[in-house]
Formats: sequence, structure tokens, C-alpha cells
Amino acid sequence: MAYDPITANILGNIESVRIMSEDYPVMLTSNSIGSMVQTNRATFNLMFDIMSLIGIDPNVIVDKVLENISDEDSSLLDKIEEIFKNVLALNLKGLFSCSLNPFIPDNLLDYYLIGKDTNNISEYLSGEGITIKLTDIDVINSLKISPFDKKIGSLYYFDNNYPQNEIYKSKDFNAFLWYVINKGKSNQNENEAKLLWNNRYNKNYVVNYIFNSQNDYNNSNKNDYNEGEIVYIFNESKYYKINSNKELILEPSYKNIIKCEFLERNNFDSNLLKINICGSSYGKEVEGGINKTIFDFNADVLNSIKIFEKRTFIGRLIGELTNSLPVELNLSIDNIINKEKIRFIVNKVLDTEETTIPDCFFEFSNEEYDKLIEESELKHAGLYKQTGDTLGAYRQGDLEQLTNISSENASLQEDKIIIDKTLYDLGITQKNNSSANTRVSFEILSNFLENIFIVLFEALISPKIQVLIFINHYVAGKNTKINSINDIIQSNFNTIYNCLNEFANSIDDILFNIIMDALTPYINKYGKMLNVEQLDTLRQLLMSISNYGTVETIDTPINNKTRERNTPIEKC
Amino acid sequence: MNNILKIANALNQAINKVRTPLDPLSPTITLSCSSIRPGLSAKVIASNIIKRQGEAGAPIGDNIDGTRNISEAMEVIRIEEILKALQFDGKIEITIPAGSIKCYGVGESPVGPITIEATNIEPVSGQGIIR
Repeated sequence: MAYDPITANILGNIESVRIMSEDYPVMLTSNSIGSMVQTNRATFNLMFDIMSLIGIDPNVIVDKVLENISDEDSSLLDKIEEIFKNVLALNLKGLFSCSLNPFIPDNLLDYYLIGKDTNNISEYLSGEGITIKLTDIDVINSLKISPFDKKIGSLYYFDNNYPQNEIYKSKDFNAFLWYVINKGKSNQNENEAKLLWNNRYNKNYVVNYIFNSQNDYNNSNKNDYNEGEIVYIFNESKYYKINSNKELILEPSYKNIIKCEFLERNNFDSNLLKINICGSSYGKEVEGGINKTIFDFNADVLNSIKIFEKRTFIGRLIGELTNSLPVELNLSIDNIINKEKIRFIVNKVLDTEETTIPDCFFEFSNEEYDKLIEESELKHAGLYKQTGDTLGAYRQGDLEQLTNISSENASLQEDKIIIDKTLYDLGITQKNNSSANTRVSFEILSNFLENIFIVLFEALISPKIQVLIFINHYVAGKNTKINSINDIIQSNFNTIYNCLNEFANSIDDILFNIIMDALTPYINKYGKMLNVEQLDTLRQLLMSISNYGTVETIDTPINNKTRERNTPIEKC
Repeated sequence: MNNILKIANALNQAINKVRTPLDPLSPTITLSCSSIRPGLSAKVIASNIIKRQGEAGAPIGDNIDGTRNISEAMEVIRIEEILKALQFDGKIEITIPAGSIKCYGVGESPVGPITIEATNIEPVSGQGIIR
């Protein structure tokens, strides 16, 4: 082909200038590494790509994350809980500006002092309290589930190993709330103590018997009682321990915090909960005194509840992965859509690096909404997306396994075996990882981590937190009307976002440590190779000096003859 | 969320940490090696690359359809241009550290200023940067 060097030269020159001045065309990469081509900057995707490059087994990651969650001494969940409670307390404090009165109003207390009568006895009035629609504090209808449900009760409640009529003693606020909603008040005096939530979580004992007065106890058959059991005397609001002589010894009191009553029972959507703050702990002690502040109340509530409990967390996580929970709960399509909205919002949060959350996080485009509906319908049908277009189906046996995980009788070692088997059955972990499956494995892993965030998120919007938020909003005079799940998420989002952010950072740390552990041998070997390269260069330099001037010859007759000619000729 | 840049920087730093500064060669080795070197040749470099390209599985010689092997031709052009830049545009700036040149001087004078002729008695190394 003819080639004109002058034309080629000038055209080449212009093209090079064009390229160098950054006006080159967008270069599509044929690279298969996802995080190089996608536009979002989520750290997880980068870490997964690094891990699949290095050849880290996804099983290792699942193991590490679960180990960190279920560690007895320093669980990740405990750290997140502490952070969340601090952030929530600060955010609730932020509702009250300088001009707002933070003292608990009288009408919120169950009983408040109005003065003394002519006989110098204190007189009390009862406050109206605050009425809350159940659906406003329980958007995912978790309170519909019974703590005694053999399949899923242990996934939503902890400390539920009580007889049916005694679940009010549970350390789980949601279990206590379930009792209030389902058992309610039949006998005014007997049951009122069962409707009181106190700071039992930090105490080591639970109430075994309740009597109206010490006389009632003394008149009863003391052979029925054992040493060390706890008795609550209702008219004194005090706790006693039974000693060896079956006498009552005063115990440090529980501090009563909230009183809950159930008002209606027609259908779940219109049921109301009446909440009072306990006057015995927060009301004025003398006439003319002042009630305690809402901040004291908030601190006590936050210290009395446990938001993340390890076993239920892990059980729920696997339930989400298998989509077994919506099927078992017979959730309506609307409830499932609400859960999917949470999932979409969590994904948006994970994919962003923004520090302030824009309003568009809570709105869905048409395409996003279509996808949301499609995935909800799949889940309603008992299917779920495993990876790409692969669908998994809910299997009956999955939940039975989960109940074992959540049972407090199992040891963590046994848990690990069950969890490993369940994750293997789900295809989340695989025994023989070939490189062809690695990308797929990381997609499944991404799903695993996403579901961790979903379970976390649901725990943060559960009734035990929402009740507290509602009370604060009421005292601060803010609007407490909830129209949709968007309202509840939006009004709490900054608090939840800080918590999710912290959890994501912790997961980043775990993944980063795994990467560094795997990368360190490579880096060490690379360093050694660089040293060897330098030494080899030096060796070759020295060899080149020593070999300079050396001429190799081969032993041939011609050479021999040449040598002979060079030898001196002897004169004959 | 953790900045993606933070993570990438941390990993890059871990990898780059193994590249320590090069130990300087002794002046004797530098002198000895440099005096016997034949100099850079673009043709020699390109031919060595083409010689070894079979190790990477690249085709040697003409393509299967009989057309010229463009990558071999490009290799020659590439090396020629790199070397041209080094030889005609490259500049090496050398700095000799203070106090490294030891001189021995001999001189004489009647009363008055002394003229000294000095030479360095040992070879000296400097540090340079190519630009």
C-alpha cells in the first residue's frame, strides 16, 4: 500500500495533540472488573473486586462478619447499639430548643401529685397519657408475631422462654408490648403491675410473684415459695426477696418507666396503645415541685432496652436471605412493598458518599418503582432473587433451622455449624470455589451484606424505639401524624443514617483487614523480588567487568594451526 | 461511608512501601562499568524484545493471513522514540555532595600567594536525576 510519509506525519501529529489535550473519545473498557466501569463509588464493590482478584474465598468473609457479630465479649452489634443510643439521645435533645419546656407534662404521667387533703394525705390525679396507633409505631407489623410461635417467635423476640401469661416479665420491650396488646387488662388491680415497663434489662432477677400487699403474702401458703425468689408488692410499688425463713427482705427497686395499656381490639389497623410515663419515678415529689425532664426519661428508656440481640439478629438475617419470613408471616403485598422500600433506601445509602441525605432518597423514579413492585410480587409468591436472574424458592425446612440458631439453649459452636450448613444450602458459601464462580459468589456476598443492613434498619424502626420517639415528639409539640412508611423513615433518617454509616465503616474495617491479611504475603514476596532484582543487577555489572576482554575460542584444527604459526620457529 | 479514596490510598501505600531507595553504587564499580559500555541502541533493544515475545505467547513473524506483523513494527517505532527522547531531550542533573571531593595539592611560591594544582585522589559519586 502506498504510504506518504509527509501526510502521515502531519495527520499523526494532529491526532497526538488532540489526544494529549484530553479530547480523546470515551474509551470503553472490555475489562470484566465491575468497579472500574460502574458509576457509583460504593466501597463494598471495590473491596469485593480486590478480593476476587487476590482469590479470597467468600466463605472467609461470611465467617468473619458472623464471628464479629456473635462475639460474646465485644460484638459488633454492641458497639453499634451504643453509638445508636448516643446519637438518638442527642437527636431527641435537638428537638427541644431553648424556648421549649423539657419537663414532662403532668397529663403524660400515670399519677401526679396535686396536693394534700385535709388529713395531710397526698392526693393524686391520673394523666391522660398519649394514644398511639399501633401501625404508626410498627410499620412492618412485627407485633403481630407471637413470641411463642415455634417457627419465628425467636426471630423477633429474645428472652421469650416464659409461660404464656408471664411474657410481660421478658427483658425484650417488644415481647412486653405484645403481652400488653394481647392479654390486656381483665382485672384492674392484679394486672396493672404487669403493664409497667421498668429497668429490668440491667437487673439480674425477674419478678416471680405479685401481691397487692404484704398481708396477702403473709396469708398465703409460704411452702409454695423458694428462697431467692422475687415478690412485687403492688400497693407499695416495691420489690422484696424471699429469704430462707420465707420472710420478705426489701430489694433495690426497679425504676418504673412506662405504663402501657391497650385500648381497642377491633382490627389490627385501628388498635390504639395508651402510654403513660410513671409518675412514681418522674413526677414531682412535693407539692410545688417540678417533674423530671424528658431527657432523664430518655436516658432511662435507652438504658432499659436492648435493640440488637445477637441470636435474633442472625436468625432474622438468614430469614431475610431465604425470604422465608414474608411467607411465614403471610405478609400482604403492601407490607412487602414497605419492606422493599426499606431495601431500596438502604441500597441508596450504601451507594452514596454524600454526608447529607438529599430528599430524593425517599422518592422513587418510575423505573425504580416498577422494579420495586416486581421484586415485591416475586417475594409474595415465595421466590427471591439469588443472583442475577437466578431465583430461589422458599423451603419449608429453612425456618426450622433458624429457630435452633435463635434458641438460647444452643451454644455458639452449635450455632456455627447450623449457620454454615444453612448458608451452604442457600448457595451463599460454596465448598469448591472455582474462579468461574468467584464473581457470582461475590454477588451473593453483596446480597448477604445488604440483608444485614436491612435487618439492622428494621431493628432501628421497631416499636421499642418508635414509642420513645413518639413521646418526645409529643412533648416537644411536633406533629406525630404518620401517613406512610416514608414519614417514619424520613423523620428518623438522620439518626438511622449515622448508625448505618458506622456499621458500614465497621464492615469496611473487617473487609480491609481480610484484604491486608491476604495481600501481605504477596507484598512481602514482591519486596523480596525487588531486592533480588537489585542484587542480580549488581552481580551482572560485576560479571560484565570480569568478563570484559575475555575471548572464547573453540578447539579446531584451524585454531591449532594458528597457534603453531605463532610459536617461534626454531632455527635448524 | 468510608471514602473509596481512603481505602485505595491505604492499599497503595502498603504496596509502595516495599520500594525502598536504591543503594548507591560504589564509584569504582560505576567507573569500571561505564567505561566498557557500548551505549544504547534502539535496534538492539527492539530486537531483544521481538526475540522474547514468544515467551508471552505473542506471534512471531508474519500473521497467519500473510500480512505483516504490525506489533513488531510498532515495537521498533516505540523503542526508537523512547530512546530518542532519552538521548536528545533527556537531561541528567548531577549534584556532588559537599565535602566528598578530597584534593591533594602541590604548589610553591616565594613570598606571596600560593598557586596550587589540585586533583581529586579518589573517585567520587554524585546523585543525579534525569529530566
